[in-house]
Amino acid sequence: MTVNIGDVVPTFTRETGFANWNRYAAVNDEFVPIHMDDAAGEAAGNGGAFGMGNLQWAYLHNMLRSWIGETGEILSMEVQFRSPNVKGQTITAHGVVTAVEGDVVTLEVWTDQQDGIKLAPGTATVRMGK
Amino acid sequence: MPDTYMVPEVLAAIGRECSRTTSYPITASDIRKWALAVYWPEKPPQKFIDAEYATEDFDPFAWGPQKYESLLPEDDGSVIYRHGINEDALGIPKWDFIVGLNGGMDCQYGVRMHVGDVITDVKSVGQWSERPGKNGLMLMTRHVSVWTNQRGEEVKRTINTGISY
Amino acid sequence: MSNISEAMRAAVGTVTGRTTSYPITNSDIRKWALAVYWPEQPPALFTDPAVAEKSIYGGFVAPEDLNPFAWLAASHESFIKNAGKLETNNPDNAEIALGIPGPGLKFMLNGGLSVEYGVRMREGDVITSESSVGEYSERKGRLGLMLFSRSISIWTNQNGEMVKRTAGILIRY
Repeated sequence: MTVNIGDVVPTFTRETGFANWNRYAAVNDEFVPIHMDDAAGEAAGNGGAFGMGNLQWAYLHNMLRSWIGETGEILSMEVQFRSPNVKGQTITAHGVVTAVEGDVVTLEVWTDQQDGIKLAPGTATVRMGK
Repeated sequence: MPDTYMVPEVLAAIGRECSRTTSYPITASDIRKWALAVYWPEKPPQKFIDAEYATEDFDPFAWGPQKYESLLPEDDGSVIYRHGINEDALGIPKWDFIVGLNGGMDCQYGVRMHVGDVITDVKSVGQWSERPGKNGLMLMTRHVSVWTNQRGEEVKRTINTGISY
Repeated sequence: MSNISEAMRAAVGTVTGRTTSYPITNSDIRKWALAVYWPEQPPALFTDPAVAEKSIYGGFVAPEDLNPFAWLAASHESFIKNAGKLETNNPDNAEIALGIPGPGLKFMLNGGLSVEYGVRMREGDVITSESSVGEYSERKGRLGLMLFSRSISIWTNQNGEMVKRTAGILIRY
């Protein structure tokens, strides 16, 4: 696959709520009141329970993993969690190529919710699969 | 409400094997995490952390089985019945129940579950019965689930009772 | 002028903790993948032994984001000396934990996380995470002279190969 600056990675989308969060809590042992209990989320200033930043991190990886192919590698990622993922939001992981050096590709990555508001922006580098 | 639930379809279904479900091999991590969850917030006994064997209540089918087969010719097996049986495929009439209750379960344990075990669950229709209640005629269903390990040893035999009226 | 003292500079590289995982099982990999791809099916690479065997990895590898320390670690050692002296939300906690004076700055914020990946985690791997004190740096910004400190955690497998290097950044001003 030839990759060029500006290429857009096929997105990864999930409608989020307790059904996703509880599953992630179960595998990651992440049973934190702000993610399980609306009252605790509200007290933390988020209007209710909200999803784990780690799950958005996972969604960004899912998007890249499927794009680079089985022989590709995710080399690095950094993101900032800017805005909480609250119940009922449809979260989409995005990526756009910002640099290409041989088979190593740098991307701007982010998750956003259905209104286009970015929740977790960051960058990633990958090595494309053969 | 019918005069009786013991119609020919129900009587014919009693004793029929409905599904066979096979687990993935049990791992040490499965045993450890299950124990951590059910003992939380206290620490489980060290033997479960060391995964010597699983707690009796451990469910090797959690998160999905390795294989699921329907044993009813009337059912193509495309829907996994994890807890119940496919009553439609057995031709059980759809009664208009107002209440469906989990009446309880009765388990008899055999050999323990260990790391590497592959558990097979065969579900069948147990004895069904009816009795009059203050809200009308109640149907008591009993589903039987028998777990065996890869050596054919019985791990657990469960009778789940449902009460509907 | 600088908020980075000699003692802080000397502390860079100090190992603050070491945690070792239980061996990663195919069940850990399968369930992690089921959770993060839910409600769709995860790639068969993470669930089907035959597919994993035929892949370039020749067996199960974990999703990069899998946490092998979830639920319980096989062992954990902390080398922090002054855990009892830490106070919630004290910006100097990182230095207090090392037994050295902190810079005494009033405000702090999370500067984010960056991760580099090395070799993949595989079924059977035992992962060790070693935490250490990372570099300090400073920059003039709109909030004045900002101090950047890093906490590093490096994951290695049982063969000593690097799996993941995470740098957490704390900004103080």
